[in-house]
Amino acid sequence: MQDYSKDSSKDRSTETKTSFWQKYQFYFLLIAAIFVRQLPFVSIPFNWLESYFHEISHGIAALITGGNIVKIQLFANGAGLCTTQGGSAFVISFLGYAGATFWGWAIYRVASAHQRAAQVFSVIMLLLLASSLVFWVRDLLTIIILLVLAIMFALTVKMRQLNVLQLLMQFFGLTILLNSLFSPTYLLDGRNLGDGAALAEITFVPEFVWVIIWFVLALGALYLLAKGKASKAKAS
Amino acid sequence: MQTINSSFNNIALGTGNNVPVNPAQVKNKVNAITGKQVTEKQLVERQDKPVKAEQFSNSSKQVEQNEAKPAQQKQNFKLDEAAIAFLESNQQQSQLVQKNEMTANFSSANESITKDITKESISSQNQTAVSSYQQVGNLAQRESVQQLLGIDLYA
Repeated sequence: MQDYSKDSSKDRSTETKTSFWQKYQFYFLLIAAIFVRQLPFVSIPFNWLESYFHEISHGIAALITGGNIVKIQLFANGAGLCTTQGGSAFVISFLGYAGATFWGWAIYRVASAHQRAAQVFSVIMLLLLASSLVFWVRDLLTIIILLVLAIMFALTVKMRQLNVLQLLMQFFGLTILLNSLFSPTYLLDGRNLGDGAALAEITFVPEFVWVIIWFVLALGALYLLAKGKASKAKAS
Repeated sequence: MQTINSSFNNIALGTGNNVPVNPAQVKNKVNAITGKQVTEKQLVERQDKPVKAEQFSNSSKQVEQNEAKPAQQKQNFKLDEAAIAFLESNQQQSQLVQKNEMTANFSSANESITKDITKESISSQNQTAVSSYQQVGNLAQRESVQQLLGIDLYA
């Protein structure tokens, strides 16, 4: 006679553990992302990641509105520069921070949807980085930074444990989202430089209003991800 | 000549308070001994020969005057001390006043400087003026770059 009662109790304990992890996975990852942002050297590649998605968003906005990208520059301190020709100045200026927020949200959402989807998305990121390197990067420092980012995504693609890949992609998404949440606040330095100042020039709406809009957008994205995860946990 | 005259006059007339006497005023003075007007030339001669002048003093009036002279001189000397003390006190007071004025000026200047600094640090008008100036500079740069190449920079 087999003792099924023991097996069922084991299953229950693993189920409760899984449900607990699933329930609070978003918050654990969020805390991990906040912690990593504070680390001196470890946080640098994640800053580059956010900076790249910020600049590529400017570029994509230029391409969508009929312009083209001349070049993309990234700097070691996490700053970036996108040189465009033509297109809508308003859309290009606005989509820097908003685009980074969207990228962070999208990476997390796609990675959360399915493990295979996370892998496919990782390949897409790798292709985007490669095309950026070929078409829009002209200086050595940006080449090195993009190569580091490409290696990060290549490692996730080659990963055999898909659940770890999924977690890593979710973590990347959250770090991008956190950076896009706090980066606009750096614009409030009274120097009238950056995307906020450009938008203020175009629309005559003060810079801090745009900063608040970007901040609220990033907060909203975080809230949506937290809410989505909670509802999924409840359904399961 | 004038310096000799003035020093001589000071002694002769018993002013003795170190106040320089105008020689022009002395020219018309009447000699207390002879009752005659004393010219510059005569005064110089007296200075050259002070002993001779004493030889001519024979009358009682002259003796009295001669006796009174040291007293006057003493008095003058006392007055001098008082005057010196007064002058010194005056000088000290004036120095103090000057110092006070200087410190007052310095403190007022400091106050004005600090006021200016605080004005500079507080005044939002200045800040907006500087930022608008910089903005114009950036715009000009931006426009020049745009005109040359037709490109935009987004950070």
